Amino acid sequence: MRITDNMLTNTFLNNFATTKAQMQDIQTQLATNSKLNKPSDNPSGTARALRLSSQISDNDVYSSNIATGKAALNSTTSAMDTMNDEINKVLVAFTNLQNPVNSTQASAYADTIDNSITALLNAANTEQDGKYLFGGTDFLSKPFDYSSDNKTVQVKSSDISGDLYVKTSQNITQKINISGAELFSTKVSMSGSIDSTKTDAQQSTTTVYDSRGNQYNLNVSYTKTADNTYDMQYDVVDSGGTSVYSNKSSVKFDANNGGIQSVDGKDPSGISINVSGKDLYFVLDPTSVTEKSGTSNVSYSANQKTDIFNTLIKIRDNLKAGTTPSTDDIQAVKDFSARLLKVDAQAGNYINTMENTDDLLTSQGVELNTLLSKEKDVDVAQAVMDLQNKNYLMQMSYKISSMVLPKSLVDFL
Amino acid sequence: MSLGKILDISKNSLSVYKQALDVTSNNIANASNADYSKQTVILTSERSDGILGSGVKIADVSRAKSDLIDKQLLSYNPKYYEADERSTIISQMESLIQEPSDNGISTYLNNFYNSWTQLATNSSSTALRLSVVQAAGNLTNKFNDVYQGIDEMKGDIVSELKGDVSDLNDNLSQVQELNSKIFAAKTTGQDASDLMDQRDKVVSEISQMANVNVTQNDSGDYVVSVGGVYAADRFSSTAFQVQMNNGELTVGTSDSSTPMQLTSGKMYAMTDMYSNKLPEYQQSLDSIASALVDTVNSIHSTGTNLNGETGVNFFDDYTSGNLKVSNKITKDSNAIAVSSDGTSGNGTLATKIADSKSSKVIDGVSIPDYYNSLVSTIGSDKTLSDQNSAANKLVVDQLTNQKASVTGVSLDEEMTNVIKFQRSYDASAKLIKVADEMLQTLIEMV
Repeated sequence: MRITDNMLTNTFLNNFATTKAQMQDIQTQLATNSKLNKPSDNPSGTARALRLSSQISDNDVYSSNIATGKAALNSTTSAMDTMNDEINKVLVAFTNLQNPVNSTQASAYADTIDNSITALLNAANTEQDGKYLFGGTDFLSKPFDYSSDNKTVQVKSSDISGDLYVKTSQNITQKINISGAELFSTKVSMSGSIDSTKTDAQQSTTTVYDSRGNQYNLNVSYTKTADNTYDMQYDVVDSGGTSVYSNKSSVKFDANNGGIQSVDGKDPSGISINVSGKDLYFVLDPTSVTEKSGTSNVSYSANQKTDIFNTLIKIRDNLKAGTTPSTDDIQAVKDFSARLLKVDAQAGNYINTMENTDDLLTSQGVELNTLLSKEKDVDVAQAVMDLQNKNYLMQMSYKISSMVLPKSLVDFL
Repeated sequence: MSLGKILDISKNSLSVYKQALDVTSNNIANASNADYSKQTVILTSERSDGILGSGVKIADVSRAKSDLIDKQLLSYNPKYYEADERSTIISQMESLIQEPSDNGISTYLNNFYNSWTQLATNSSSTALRLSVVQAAGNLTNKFNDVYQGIDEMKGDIVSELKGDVSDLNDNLSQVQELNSKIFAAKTTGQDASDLMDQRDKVVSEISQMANVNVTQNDSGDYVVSVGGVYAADRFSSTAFQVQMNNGELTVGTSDSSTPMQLTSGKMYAMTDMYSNKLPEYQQSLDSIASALVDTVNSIHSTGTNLNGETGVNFFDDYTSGNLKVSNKITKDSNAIAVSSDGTSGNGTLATKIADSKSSKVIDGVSIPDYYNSLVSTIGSDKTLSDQNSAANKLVVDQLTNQKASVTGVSLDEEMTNVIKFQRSYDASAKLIKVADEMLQTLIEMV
């Protein structure tokens, strides 16, 4: 084969360009400390790196959510601890009042109870980060306050029953509040069943009390509108037979097991009923009602008659009048104390769950960062060695080409 | 033999070797000209009437040829330039999407979903609501930038293709002109080697543009067709132009009667990228945007915002390349509707929107995964083009070297010829001197 001068130059230039391109790649990798600077560097690796980066960023947000949730729950448990102290003071006062010596000084104990009511009210209205902790999902309004005549404590916002949830991992949504309704409000639970064969209204009734002790009838009727679907009408009627509140919800039951499936198209939950101007707030819980063929027997149970504030107000007013608390009143306070401890423990569980999730996120974060590093980071030692190697090759190319390319027979004539 | 004949032979020899040195010097002068084909002096003995010879003469000055290699180059050149052009265009696409980085759609998409996750912690917070609006704004801006960037790339391709087609037309005119000049030179017995070199160079440039077919007729003319369409011979050349048919970019004759059937070359890469590949990328982006608008709006419109309204869409309806957050939301972050029960602190729907990140809404995959696979596809397309480009370049380089081996100038060879011809020239001159001395001797004898 003839070797011409252009062949020598072309071959040298091609090889030289290849070495320089390789050097440039290594230099870019070293400068960015990343093997992936454009998708074509490793198409599938880029997709994996994007997914891993996304997961790492998600984990950061979940950790931030956990910090927010824990701060809210820590403040909530702190407020509940204050309430617990006050309730204990009240219970101690009740014990003292059982001593005949002290019972004559009932009005003096009224002040103790009054102080505790104020402290409880303050704790129930605790704010954190601009939110009323016991305000449910309507947390911008102050949830509890005295009525204008100072005789009762009313629920001031429309609904204090909402639960707040945050995402703490890909598949976990964590509750981060204790709603006012959960801790303080009267919950009227419905149980039993309604008859799927009946097309006319299936009615049931129970008694509810406002914060002044006035009695009302709660009438609930189910009217079938479609298979497994009913209009649930609920009316609150005062002792004079006048309706003070009326509303309805669409309830759907599971066709297979008869359990409740949705209320107004959403996951079944309690329905807050706040009768404005009547000091009447309670949560109607229809979630245990089932649909059965041939059986209609809805029954009701309430966890309390009135809330703790108005129970204590009644006790305080009675003490002022010289009357010591009745057994029912004392039991109502004890029931609240038990509920407070139970809810406090629940909040503690939420905090523990979030701490566990946070630990998991931390270890997942380490794992994800390791995987991303494997995918993306440059082995600097290896890259420097490769670069040095290419550099030697290039220097060798320069040297040899400077020796060989200019030579021809001309030099020897 | 008379002494006069010695003088005649020597005189001719001087002339022959001077011409041989002329050819050699021309070869040396073109040693670095890659398009030059080496010329060789073919010497032959002068015809003699008797027993003794009559000297030397130049039978021909031949031009080195490499027809087979030339044909192969015409076949591989367009393949290399096609892959190289694809690689260049996709590399612009890579620059446009800026992946993987903090400024790519992937990051903005993730930030968008995470802003909803955070909003759920305090759904009435103005700061968190503004953060959602900002994250959505960043996402829509980046998305629209990428989409419109592809449109701009398509516009650039059309401009570049018009330039290339204009060059092609010039080259085809040159082929016709050179065919004509070569024919004229040949018929008048002139050397047409330089013109042939020029013609080969022009044809090589044409082959970078498209699949080309070159045949040589009996008159030695090149008959060129480009993309299966007659393009040039000795008598005429075709003028091509860029055409647009139903959104597809093509190249055809000026009267639009015959479109090229492009299968390789730079022009094929451009028309294919314009008509197929870039629209594919845009369709993927359309799927992503439509799915995003549908999933977010379907959840958002069921919620109640802080103004007590329901049925509010977060995004405006998507039209190609125009992903936009609704004006209502950008003007007033309170219009973001995440409450499922109407209370201001309920953020259930914010969590639902954040959860929709993993909903498999496009061809059985989630929106981020679909985008990741688009990035991966772009990367694979670029890698494939790079590999094709490298493989074809290797072949083209080897063929170019083979051609240089046959038609290129070797200085060593030429310098050897210089010495050889110089020595022959010296010897012929010496012979004249000898003949002169012989004549002198004879004259002195008289």
